[in-house]
Amino acid sequence: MPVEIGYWGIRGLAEPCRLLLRYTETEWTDAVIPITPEGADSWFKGKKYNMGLDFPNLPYLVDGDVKLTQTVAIMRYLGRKFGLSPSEADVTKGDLMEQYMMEVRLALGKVCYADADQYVEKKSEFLDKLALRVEEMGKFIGAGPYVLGDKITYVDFLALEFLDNVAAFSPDHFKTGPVVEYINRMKSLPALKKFYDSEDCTHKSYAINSPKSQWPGWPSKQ
Amino acid sequence: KQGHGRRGVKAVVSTQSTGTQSTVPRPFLPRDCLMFPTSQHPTAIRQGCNLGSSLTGKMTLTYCYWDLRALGEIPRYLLRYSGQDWKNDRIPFNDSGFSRWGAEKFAMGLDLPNLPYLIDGDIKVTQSVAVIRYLARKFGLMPGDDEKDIVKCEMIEQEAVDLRLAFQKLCLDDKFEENKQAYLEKMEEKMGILDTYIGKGPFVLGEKLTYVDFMVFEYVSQIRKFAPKQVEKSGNIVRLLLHIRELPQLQAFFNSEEFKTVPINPSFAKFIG
Repeated sequence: MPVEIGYWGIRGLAEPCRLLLRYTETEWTDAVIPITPEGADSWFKGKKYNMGLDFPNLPYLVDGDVKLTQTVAIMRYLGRKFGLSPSEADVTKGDLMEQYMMEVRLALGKVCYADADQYVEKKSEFLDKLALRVEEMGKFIGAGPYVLGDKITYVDFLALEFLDNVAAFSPDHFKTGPVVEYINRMKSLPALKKFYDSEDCTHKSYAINSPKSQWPGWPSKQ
Repeated sequence: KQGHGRRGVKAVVSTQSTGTQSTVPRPFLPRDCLMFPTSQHPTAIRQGCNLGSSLTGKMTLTYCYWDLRALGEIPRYLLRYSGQDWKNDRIPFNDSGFSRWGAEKFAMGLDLPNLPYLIDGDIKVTQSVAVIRYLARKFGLMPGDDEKDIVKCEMIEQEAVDLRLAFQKLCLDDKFEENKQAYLEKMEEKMGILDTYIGKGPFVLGEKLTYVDFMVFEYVSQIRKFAPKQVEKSGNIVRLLLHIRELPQLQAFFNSEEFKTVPINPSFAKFIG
């Protein structure tokens, strides 16, 4: 049975897992839950408590006997499965960048999922800190080619997707520099380029966040 | 007969044979006293509680965080548990502390400057989970090589982080009163699932103590202070907390001023703890 990733029909927290699997060019199941009332019912009233998940949540991974939730746990698992874990010398650096990327994405999430009356203030706080974040990430990544240097790891898929999300939210901060170069390098990897260039690339139709959020991040019109 | 004086001042010692007194200078013990308004400042008292570490000699391991529990307490538990020498650097969460951190933040050689940070010789780490896992590797508190144990451990790690994030969100929420009930309901549900999962323990991975036990201990203890009735419905979790509470390596800490006085959250929080 191929690896199965279950999540809503948005990019959100599952997209790094999906991108990693696309990169491996192995067969995998994209178990998309439609962002419709019927889709929500199929999850909340259907699968959520009936799949044998210890901590029912989305995204989930099923790989034979292994059933996981929590984006970070899933990404580390896929890293081990596909030889995409940091080398022993780099484990701490890997943990650091993994956590930093999660923090950036969750910070963006706090803005996008804020109450309507708090959105403007929270957006402004996030943007105030963004230039510094981009600068320090740029220094960390440097010439790369990957986040941890020569070796591609699961952390790169967290970085690629989450940086891409922030770049969509605030393009002005991502015009030039090491971070932009990094994103472009990752998107040019043959297995990923195939995905990004394809007619039915989900990034051409999926929102980044829930359509009900203050900033769903729908794709810009081509 | 031994006299005592204030630290940094000569002590009076008597010699055994003649009973005459002579003065012997004590080594000056650096305590960053100039950083705090007075030596009676709570932070100074907690900073001085460097249990398990020597105040003299070279300390190569420093762990620095605000003088709070918040999301920085777990590495302190791992260090206390290890018995290793370490500098318990605490920055008061006030103007004096903010200005100290403002000055130091970009001067410590940290790649991604933030609090907490850990400096261990040449190694410098930020991000609390990265610090926790670094110390877990150092002190033999990782899950081992069995894939089943690893996934269990890592899922619980993230569930514990989620528990803390949700609690923190409520504590700092402008809409605290409106959102409190919804928080309590969700928290009870999550706590119940965790309780079932932990089972008879004694630890998350059964017999083997790992870093996630300290994460569950600290984060659930925080929530327990806020909502004891709800947390105490989860008997397996309460039992795990007791096992950690009874670890011999931590008893000195639990008897200390630091433990008795350190708040969970900053003073502007809706729940300080």
